[in-house]
Amino acid sequence: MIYLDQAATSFPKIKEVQDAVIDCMNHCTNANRSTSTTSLNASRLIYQTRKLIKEYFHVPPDGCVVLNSGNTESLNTCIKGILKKGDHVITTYAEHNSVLRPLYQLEKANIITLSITSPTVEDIKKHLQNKTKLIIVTHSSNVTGEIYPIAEIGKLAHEHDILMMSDVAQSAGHLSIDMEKMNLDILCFSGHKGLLGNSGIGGFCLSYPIEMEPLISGGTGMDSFNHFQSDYYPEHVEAGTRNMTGIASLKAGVSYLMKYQDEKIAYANELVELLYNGLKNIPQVILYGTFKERTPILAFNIKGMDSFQVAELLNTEYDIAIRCGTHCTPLMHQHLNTVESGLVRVSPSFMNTKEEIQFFIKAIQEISEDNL
Amino acid sequence: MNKQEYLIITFHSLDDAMDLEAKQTSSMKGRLIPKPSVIEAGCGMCFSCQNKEIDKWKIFLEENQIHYEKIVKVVF
Repeated sequence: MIYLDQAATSFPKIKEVQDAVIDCMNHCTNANRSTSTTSLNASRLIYQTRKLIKEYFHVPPDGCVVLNSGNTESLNTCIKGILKKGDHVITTYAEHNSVLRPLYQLEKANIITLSITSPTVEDIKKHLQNKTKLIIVTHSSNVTGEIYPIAEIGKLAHEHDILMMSDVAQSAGHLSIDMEKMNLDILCFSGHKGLLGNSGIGGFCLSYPIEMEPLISGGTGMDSFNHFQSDYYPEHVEAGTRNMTGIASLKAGVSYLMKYQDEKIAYANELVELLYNGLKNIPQVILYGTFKERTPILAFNIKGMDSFQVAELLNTEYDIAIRCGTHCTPLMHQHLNTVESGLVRVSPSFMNTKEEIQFFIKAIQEISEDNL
Repeated sequence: MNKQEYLIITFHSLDDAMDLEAKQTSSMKGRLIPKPSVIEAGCGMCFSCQNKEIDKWKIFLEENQIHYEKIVKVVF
């Protein structure tokens, strides 16, 4: 199989990640629950992973790293934990349902009011209100790969004493992210995409201990007679047993990127350029989004075909994996006018070869010609 | 069993306990142990110090930016 769906999850998992998972299975038990050798191994692994993530995203010294089941839990925790009755939120049409649905839920319960705009400084500025508490903007579209000006939007947010939050699910591992320089108060990340870990691991970083109600309550391995979660991070928002093999995979993935990210990004960009140049010359192909600055994603359709038909043919006739449909990002598809057809999203990474990209282009050419 | 005096450092977060374990030196060292009930009922970890000079530990913790809850001498 040729796997060109790296925006969904990284595949295959690199050897360093696989080895780390096996090592964890053999040497780690439940973290923070005991001082036995294997429990301390787990606690040390978590500590080292947080430290690495802090360095990787340039989290300010007073900030913290929370590890959980992934980006969806992170976004829900922060959105539902921070926002209170009467708050106003600004977000954009480029957001994933993991941002939109928690916001719609709070809006429906009459807790917040919501403005949805384009991911630009100008449009966001127009929607600022006195009661705006939070601005949420994805760093890069999971549909088109376009990159949005979160640093400038963060600057605007801070000028108005508003919290700035970004979903970096699609940019982490593909772009350098500096939480401090980019004016981010909250950064939510997925561990299994560009960061190369397993599914079921992710987290969020806070630039300082921002006040929020925990989404989930339970055991933390300390302060057992307290009726409530600890006031201190990360335990404040980390109830229950941590996903140790996931954390091991995340640490291995991020360690790998700390060494090789620049060269891997350069190579992935070469692949996307090859892909773009091949697809743009096929007359029936319609490409979406701007090409100049993007993460390694291309979105397109073939005139007269539903995206699912293209995906089916790629899968059954060519053994190529991509993603079709609307990518859990409904407003982006309304914006692109692709609600009916969906889009074919192709997302390579440094793990793909130029030959695979050429084979893919040839497949699209053949499918296009057969559809004439 | 003979009782002994211990110098114990406690933490608000277990991540801080791990931070001290990682930053300990040959002269300022110890080990993580379950938090004794004499300090607080419940569960958790604390750091049992080999060197029992409280002032030196306070300086060490501050210099290394290690957050802690309290430093106590206990006998158990």
